[in-house]
Amino acid sequence: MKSSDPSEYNFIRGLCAGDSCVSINGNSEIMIENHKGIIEVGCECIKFLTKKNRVAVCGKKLKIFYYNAEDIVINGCIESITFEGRNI
Amino acid sequence: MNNSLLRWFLGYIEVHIHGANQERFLNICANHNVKLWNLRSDKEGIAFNIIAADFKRIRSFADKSGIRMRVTEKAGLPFFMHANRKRKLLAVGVLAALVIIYGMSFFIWDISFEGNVHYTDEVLLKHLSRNGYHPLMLKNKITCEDIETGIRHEYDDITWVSARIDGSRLVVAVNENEIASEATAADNRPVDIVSDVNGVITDIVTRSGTPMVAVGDEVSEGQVLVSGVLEITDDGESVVNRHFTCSDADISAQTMINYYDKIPVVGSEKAYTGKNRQKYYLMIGDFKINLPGIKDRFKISDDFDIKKLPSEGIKNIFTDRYEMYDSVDEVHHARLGDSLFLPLRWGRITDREYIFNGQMYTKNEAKGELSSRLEDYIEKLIKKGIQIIDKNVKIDRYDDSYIMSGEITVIESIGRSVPLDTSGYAENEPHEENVQ
Repeated sequence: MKSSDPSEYNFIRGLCAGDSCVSINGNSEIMIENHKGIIEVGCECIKFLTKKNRVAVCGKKLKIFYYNAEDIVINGCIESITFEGRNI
Repeated sequence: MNNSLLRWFLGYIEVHIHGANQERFLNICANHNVKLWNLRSDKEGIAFNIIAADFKRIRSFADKSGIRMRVTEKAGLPFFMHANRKRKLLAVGVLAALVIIYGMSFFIWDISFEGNVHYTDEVLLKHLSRNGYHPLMLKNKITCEDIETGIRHEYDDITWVSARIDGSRLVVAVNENEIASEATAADNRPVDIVSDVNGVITDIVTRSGTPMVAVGDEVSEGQVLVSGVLEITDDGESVVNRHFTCSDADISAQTMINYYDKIPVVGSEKAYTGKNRQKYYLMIGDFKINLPGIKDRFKISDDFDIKKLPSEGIKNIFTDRYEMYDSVDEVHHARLGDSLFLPLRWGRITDREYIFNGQMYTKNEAKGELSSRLEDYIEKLIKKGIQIIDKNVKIDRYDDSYIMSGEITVIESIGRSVPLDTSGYAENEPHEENVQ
């Protein structure tokens, strides 16, 4: 399927390359698709691994609403999202 | 099915883990497609929920990652049934309830109507009842096509009917003809179109028949506008043959409508006293049980001016009598889900007492009231497709009333069909014939 939109093209290329898709609803919910595992679970910080980065979600009263091999949904009062890794 | 409902049916447990490598344990679970939810961290470790059936699988993961697990809560149907396994009557009751609900779903519990304005629900319900359709009948005995045909045949004003079964409810949607349909000829018998008012023709479009008037002609009531006689003439303008037809035309004329309205000098406006009473009732099928209501509330409403009341009205306020009152009926229908209606209704009837306010109208107030009523009347005419050209009215006061009278000039559609008497032509013309 051809796409004339360059941003859409980059998005699809990123997914094919194994990039994670991070969706944020306000500051109360974040959904990460295509993750590679959890590194740390805490009330104020949840860290997990993606193909290229380590992602830290910090805030208050954080909890993992749903978790499986591909997706994580985190609820709570999210204050910051940090991408750590050599590509940053 | 909703996720949480599915989990409840399958049964789930809350597990608390502590020890080293907790994150490793979570990742192993995820990689083996064990679904976890509601993970939260505390000082000792991590708590999460898991489907009961998956718990046996994660024991080996816990050993592998060196953590300790503790079940803190069990919930869901399997645990509920296990806890109540000795209560046989409870199980029987639940089963009986399910069977009863399933059995009840074979019946129609309620008949409702949509779109009816002129014909009330009661009228349509009586018609259905006469034809054997009533609440508490089996669904498979209902033929929607018969209901639709029956209503269309019975009521000419109803132009469209749709009957459908929605869960345990029979819904009959109707569409009434808002503008009264003109009487159409039962067959193609020859007719004339005659004027039903006095006026001046502003437009005429003849589809069949011979037009007898033209735009600008003055016509009087009873005058033939379009004749059903079609005359065939030769070159000498003498009639050689006649055909008779059912005249059809759109004719508009400028006419005058006489307007008359009056209101009494002493107004008869409703004034709510603020005294009201409530009655409650319960209906099982058609059987109504009146429940004891709460006491009457003797409270004068804030917007009520007691000074405007006549003396006999003041006396009534403080008695138990309700001579005149409006009733508001609020009905609630018991149902399971959106469509399974049960034959149980309950409601509250609120009676609000009012008395007629005996206040005198001033001339300006009377003018305002009469003008408002005139505007309503004109609005109704416009809705009927009548065009208002001019209005000329005046207000006079007589002994006990204000009277508004005058004339409204309008352009409206005129003409009515009158059967054509062809016998007179038959004696003189041997060649006549009917055109269908």
